[in-house]
Amino acid sequence: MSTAFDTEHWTGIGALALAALAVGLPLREEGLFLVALVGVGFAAYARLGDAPEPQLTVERELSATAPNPDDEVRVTVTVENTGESTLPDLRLVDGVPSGLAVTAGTARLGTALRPGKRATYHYTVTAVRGTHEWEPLTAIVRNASGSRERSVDVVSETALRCLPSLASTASIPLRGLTTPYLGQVATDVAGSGIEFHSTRRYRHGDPLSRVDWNRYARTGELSTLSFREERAATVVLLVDTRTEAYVSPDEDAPNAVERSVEAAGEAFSALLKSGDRVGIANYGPRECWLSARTGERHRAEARQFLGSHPAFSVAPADEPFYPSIALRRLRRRLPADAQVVFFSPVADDYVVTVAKRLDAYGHRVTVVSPDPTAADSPGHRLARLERRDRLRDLRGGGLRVLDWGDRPLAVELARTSRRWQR
Amino acid sequence: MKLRLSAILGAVAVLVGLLVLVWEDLATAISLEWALVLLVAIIAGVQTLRFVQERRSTPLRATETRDPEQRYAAPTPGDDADETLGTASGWSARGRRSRGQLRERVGQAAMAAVVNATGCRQEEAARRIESGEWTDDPVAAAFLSERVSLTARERLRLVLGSPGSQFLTQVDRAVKAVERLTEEP
Repeated sequence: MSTAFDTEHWTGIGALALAALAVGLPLREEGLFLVALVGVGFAAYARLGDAPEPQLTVERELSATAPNPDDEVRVTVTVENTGESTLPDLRLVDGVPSGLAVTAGTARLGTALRPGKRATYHYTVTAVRGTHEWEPLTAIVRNASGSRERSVDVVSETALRCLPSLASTASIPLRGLTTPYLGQVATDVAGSGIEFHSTRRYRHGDPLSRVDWNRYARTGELSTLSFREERAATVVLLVDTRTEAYVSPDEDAPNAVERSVEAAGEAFSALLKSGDRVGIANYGPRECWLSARTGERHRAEARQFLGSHPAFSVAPADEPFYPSIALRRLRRRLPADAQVVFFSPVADDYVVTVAKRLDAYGHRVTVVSPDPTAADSPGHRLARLERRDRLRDLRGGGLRVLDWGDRPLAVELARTSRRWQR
Repeated sequence: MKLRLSAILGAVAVLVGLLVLVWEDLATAISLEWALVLLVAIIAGVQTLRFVQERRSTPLRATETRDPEQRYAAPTPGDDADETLGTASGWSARGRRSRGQLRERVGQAAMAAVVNATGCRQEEAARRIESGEWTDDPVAAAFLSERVSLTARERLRLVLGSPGSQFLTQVDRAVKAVERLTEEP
């Protein structure tokens, strides 16, 4: 039940009648008396009837309910007046999810509806990753004269699910913290592999293919070549989803969390391909944890996670967040041999502490930081300087940091990882 | 009470009007003297003014609708600094506080940049900022240190060269000086 209120559109209309009367009486002009009557008529019209209580049903039809990112989705909204009163002035504003932008048409309609009639309108949204649920449609109703107004919300559950494609384009070079399993991360452990590590005295049982025959020919001593053993790593992709991480250089650009999730998707795929065990977690409200595993099923699960887990939504959550408790929980969950790839815009000081502490706990941390700063005002430039200083601080602490600008992640990685090679 | 009185008066007037419709003789009983007519006209005039005044003091009301077409727009880092900069003018306590906050933030950024660029210790960097030798821009140097003061000529150029607030220009110059320091190889 909604309450109607006065719009004050007709306030003071009585002045028209009275002014004509005030002038007409002393001058004894009949014409002015008539004008006064018109004024009285308007004043009566303004008070005629209340804004009707609307009874509406809303149906939304999407041209695709599970589109790919960047696809255009046409939304058809049909509103039916199921009540018994005519709605002479009906304004509709659809509750488009905050993560979606209307790219063609408008999500509004102004119309009049008789009982049993329907009105239909369309608009187009561009799909972005995530589960997007429509908010209730707002209907604003006025009476015929527009002097009274009321608004109601009409619920119709509609959702659009858009899963990321998980292209494995960006392979993040890992650090030397590995599992005992065979993989592709070159370690400092001597064993079988490709890259030369050391030689040692031959021991009974060493494979003949690794015996250094040249040396045997020279000196007559048997020795064994050792290579850098290549092992698989356990990686947890940690995405910073605190409210502070929802920053972007301008209104049109995707925010840092969106870029982080996209990058995590690419990294996940690439790492899984190279045989590493990969998990996904967030650092922020609405906790999300996908433990590190391998396999095609795990890949599908991760796609669902990144696409529809509320932790990775396009707008920040209102829920409270306790940073130190969350860090403690995260630490308990992280496997001892897991290294962390931390996606964060590093837009505040606290996140530096988090990254450094995770690194100090023995999870070698690589920070991938989408750059959210702009340079169009002194304040923005100051924030950019402060962020660079934070990144420098992280690098100084021995963490690997990728400052990810506008270029694709793979390009930026290729440039930076050359510097990372020891 | 006032409303009730006017309502009674109105009701009586309407009743008399209706009676006149039925009983035309009654109209002759109502005196139509000039003074009475003028009185009614004056009352109408006063009421007109009252209604006009009421209209002028009453804003239109309508339900505010959101902008559902637009996506959630995330803030840009530094929006808070720009906001502080907006309140940093004037002699109010708030203006002074804002200026103090910004000076400190820029000072910290400058300190980090000096330490990083020269590899010196924090104390040495603080000394350089205090003496103004960290930059060749006199405005930036004077902004972060009370010991450095501008020459009359520089001050005049600063005043003439700042279309908006002078403080804004000072912050801008100081931030640019720090940027130059971090970008130099």
